[in-house]
Parts: sequence; C-alpha cells; structure tokens
Amino acid sequence: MNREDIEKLLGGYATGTLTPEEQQALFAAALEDQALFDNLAREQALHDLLRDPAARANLLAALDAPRPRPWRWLLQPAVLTGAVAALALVTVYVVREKRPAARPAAIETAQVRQFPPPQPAAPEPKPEENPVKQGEAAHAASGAAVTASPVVPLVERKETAVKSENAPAGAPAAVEKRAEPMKDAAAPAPLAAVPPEAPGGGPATKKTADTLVIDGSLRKEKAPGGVVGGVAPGERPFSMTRDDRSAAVSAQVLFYGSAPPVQTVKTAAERGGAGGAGPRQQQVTQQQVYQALAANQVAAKALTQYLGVKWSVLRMQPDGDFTAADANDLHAGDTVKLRFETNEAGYLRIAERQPGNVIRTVSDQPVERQQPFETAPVRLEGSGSREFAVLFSRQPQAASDRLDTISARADQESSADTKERANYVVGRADSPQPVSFNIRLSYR
Amino acid sequence: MKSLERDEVLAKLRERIVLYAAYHVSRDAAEDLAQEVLMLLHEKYAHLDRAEDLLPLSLQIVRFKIMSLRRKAVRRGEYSQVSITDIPLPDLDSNPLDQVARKEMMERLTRALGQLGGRCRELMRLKLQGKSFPEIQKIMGAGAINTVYTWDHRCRKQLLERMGGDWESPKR
Repeated sequence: MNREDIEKLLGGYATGTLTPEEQQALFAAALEDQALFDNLAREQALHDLLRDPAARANLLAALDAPRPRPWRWLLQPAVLTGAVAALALVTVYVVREKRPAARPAAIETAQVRQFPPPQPAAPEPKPEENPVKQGEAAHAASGAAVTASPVVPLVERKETAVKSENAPAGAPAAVEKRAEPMKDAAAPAPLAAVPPEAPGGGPATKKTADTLVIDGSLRKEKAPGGVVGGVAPGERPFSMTRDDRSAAVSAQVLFYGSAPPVQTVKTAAERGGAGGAGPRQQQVTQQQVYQALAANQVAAKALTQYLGVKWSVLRMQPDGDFTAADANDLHAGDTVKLRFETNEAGYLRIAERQPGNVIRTVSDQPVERQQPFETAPVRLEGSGSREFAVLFSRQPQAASDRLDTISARADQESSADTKERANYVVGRADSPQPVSFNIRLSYR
Repeated sequence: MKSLERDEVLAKLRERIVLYAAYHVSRDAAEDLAQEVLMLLHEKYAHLDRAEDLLPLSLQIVRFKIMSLRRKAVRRGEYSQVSITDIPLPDLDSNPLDQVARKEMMERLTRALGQLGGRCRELMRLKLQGKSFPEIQKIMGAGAINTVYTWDHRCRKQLLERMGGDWESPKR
C-alpha cells in the first residue's frame, strides 16, 4: 500500500471503520510522515465525537432524513399559486394574440330612403334633403312603428359592422336610417315593398326580385309548390333577371297591389330575436308601398289593378287541423286540400285533371276579395301526382271555357313565398284574359 | 512496523507530537506537551507497546492537552484581561465548553452530511453503523477495496470542505 492509498484510510479512522491491518498500516505511516500524522491528529476530534453512541445515532438519523432538494421551494403553496396565475396569464395572452381580430357580427340594418312622388316621366329619383331626420321623426313618432309618412320606408338588408342584431328591442337605433339617392333601375338597388298582411295570420312575407325585399331580407326563394301556370314546370317560379326588372314586379306585390290595407312587417332586429323586449313592428301603409313602387319606376304599373290568385296546399295534421304545407313535400297518405284567395271579387273555377284527360269540376263559384276558399280534403294514395286547373275572372266564365286546355300564359306573373308556403299568380293589368294556371301535386 | 520496539515508537511519537503541537501552540509549549504525553504513556499505559495502540492514544492525549492549554490561557487572561468578578466559577465536574463545542460540531456535521451526495451519504451511513471497508465494498458492490477507499477519501474531502476545512470550529 503506497502513500496515497494509506492517506485514503484517514476517513476510516474517525468512524472506526479500519480493520486492524488498515490501522497498522495507517499508524505506521503516520509515525513516519508528519503530514499524515497531522491529518490523523485533526481527525481525532471527529473520532472522539463519533465514539459517543448518541452522536452516531443523531448523525444516522440525519442521514436517514429525506434530503432537502433545491427545488423543494417550488412546492410552496404561494409559489404554486403564482406559477398557475402566471401560466394562465400567458395562456390568455397567447390565445388572444393568435385569435384573429373579432369580426363584427353581421347585422341587418334598415335604411330609410326617400323618394320623390311618382312622376309620369319617371326620371331618376333624387333623395330629399335631410331625409334622415324625417325618417327618424316618423320612426320616433310611432315608437317602434313607422306610420304613414310622406317618405317611403324601404327596408334593405345590409351587412355592416354596426351593432344592431343584439340591440334591445324597441331601440330605434337598431334601424339605421340613411338617406341615399335612389339608384338606377338597372342597378342593384335594394327595394322593399311591403304587402298587406296575409289573412291567414302572421306577417306576410313576400318575395320579389333579388333586390326587392319585403320583410327586410334580401333573398331569392324557390317556389314551394308545383306551380304549373305562369311559369313552366320545373322552372324557378320567379327567376327574373335584372334586365327583366322592367316587368319584374313580384306577383306577390302585384297581388296585394290592388288592396291597400295597412299591413305589418317585422324588422330585421326583431327577426333576429335579440333584445327580448318583444317584437317591434313597423306598420307601413300601402300608400308607402305605392310610392316605393312608383319611385322605382319599374313598379309604377303595379299601381293599377291586377287580378290575382293566391293558393296554397293545406295538409291535415294528427290533431285534425290543416296547416300550410310545401307542395313539393307531399307524401302518400297525406290528406290535403287547396286553399285559394283572390285579390278581387270574381269567379273561381277549379277542376281536377284525372287520367285520360277527364276533367272533374271541383268548384265553380263566385268568391269575394281576400276571402279564402278551400277545396274538400283529398287523401293522397300511393305514389303519383294530381293536377288541378284553376281559372279566375271578374266575370262569370262561359261554359265554353275548357279547363282541360289551360296552360301557362306568358302574360301572367307568378311567385312563391316559401315562408308563407303560398303561391301567387297575377295577370297583366292590360290583359282581358282571366287568370288561369295549373297545379300539380306530386307525392310518393 | 511490528518489529519496532516500544521505545522506538515513543521516540517517533514524540517527534510527531512536537511538530503537530507546535502548529497549535508555541514551540516551548509543544515540547512540554509532548513530554507530558510521553510521561503519561510511560506511567499509565506501560502495558501498551504496539504502535496501533500507542498512536491513537497519544493523539487523544495530545488533543486533550492542547484544549487544556487553551482553556488555561483563557482562564489566565492571556488573550483578554477581564475582571475577576465577570468570570464565572468553573464547574470542574462538567465541562460546558466541551459540551458546547460538541454541540456545535454536531450541528455543523449534520448540515454538512445533508449536503453530500447519495453515494457519500450511503457510505457515511454504513461507516457510522460500524461496517468495515471490506463490508462496505460488498454492500455497495464495489469491484475493489481501493474503490471504496477512493470513494471514502472523496467523501471525506467534501464533508470537510462543507465544514469549513476543519472538524472543529475554527474559533477554537
């Protein structure tokens, strides 16, 4: 054992770990080496301490105790709470940084436009000065309702960043009124004409061309029923283009054009359902509709009388009541009946075209204006279709008028309202012909 | 080494003790201290003749003698003169100074042991349990006894560093 190895025995001296051989080697070397002797002498203090069994026991207990870890302070409650809070803050910051800027909710606003009274020459309509105040004044005068006023409220849907959807009901601010010059007829100028309320109850929702909006919404709706007359089967009942707008006044509008009752439409705000303070309605007089149509120049013809028929399919519900149904969504086993309503008093003839081109008269009787007439219930059996012919005129039809020859006429307008589930067919004002069309009900 | 005669061992002991004591006390005091140790070994431990018996015994006597000299110097006011009325009467039966020194040393040693690594703690635990180095070698699975010596040497060095370089308080 060399000098270095013997020096390593120093650690065993104090604790008494050395074997006799190790002690002999260590002490012999210490007698010869003063440095080793000095180191050994320094170990004597520890040696004396560790000779005490109690001291040994205390040190063993200290060694058995869990070693304090440098990171133990991290487990302190205050430190943990702070760390969680900091992590939450960082998370919130990161999430907010990554999230795109909140896009303003798309809302609908209503603009009140003012148009000059209808002029025969129908020049470009010019906006009146300070129409906003007029519109607001009219709006404020009736609270949430707009009553008859010299201005024509035109409800236009427009997505803006202005909050309106969630505005409390009754707040006039939900409807933004601005005066803008009436755009050219060929331009996509939104126009809202409000028809009278449907006799069946509920606000009448009408459809016009893509820019004509009745209830504040700009939409094109598909015909709910199988209107055969007025438009070709399978064709979109109301698919007029902008170029056709010279004659593109909805049959629905024309249908109600002859009747001037005060009607009610819902505003965009209340259709959104936000606010919860109850529906807010705007009452628009038919005079305003007239003025709107006249201002549009194209609709000026609607001021004159149109003969029209509104029809819909009623389906019997389990409770026995009949409710309006989609004519394109009929099924075998349904019990349905047709409901007709005219905008003028006249004579309505209804016949069913049966197989073999056999005509069976369903009804032939005079009808009053806006007095609904319903056919007898018919149960749809199996899969197939049933076709009806309708003829409406101001004068009693001659017996020679054959219903089996009725076909779509080019001088008629027709449109459908999916919301109301009703179809409108009107004849031209200058046409002496009665309104005639076919109805096909397909089911399976 | 075994063949060393007792006188030869005592002669070497005297030489080492004088040099060691001279480091802590004056040269004259160191020679007196070595002479007192040898006289004690000759008078009271005459039956011991082996170096492994005489050397640890002499180390313990030297330590006690040095501590006694320090206490005597303090008592005589060699380091600081104080009023006799301020000096409490010593209780010869008990030694509060030694008790305090032991207590301080225990505290320092406990703190230092807590700062050691896992292997050193385990090695120290086995040593305090009375295990010899060969036994520790088996328990810790060391390949050679020299490995255990090296571990213990390093651990002792770390422990001594954590205690300030001396087992006893530097003030003493």
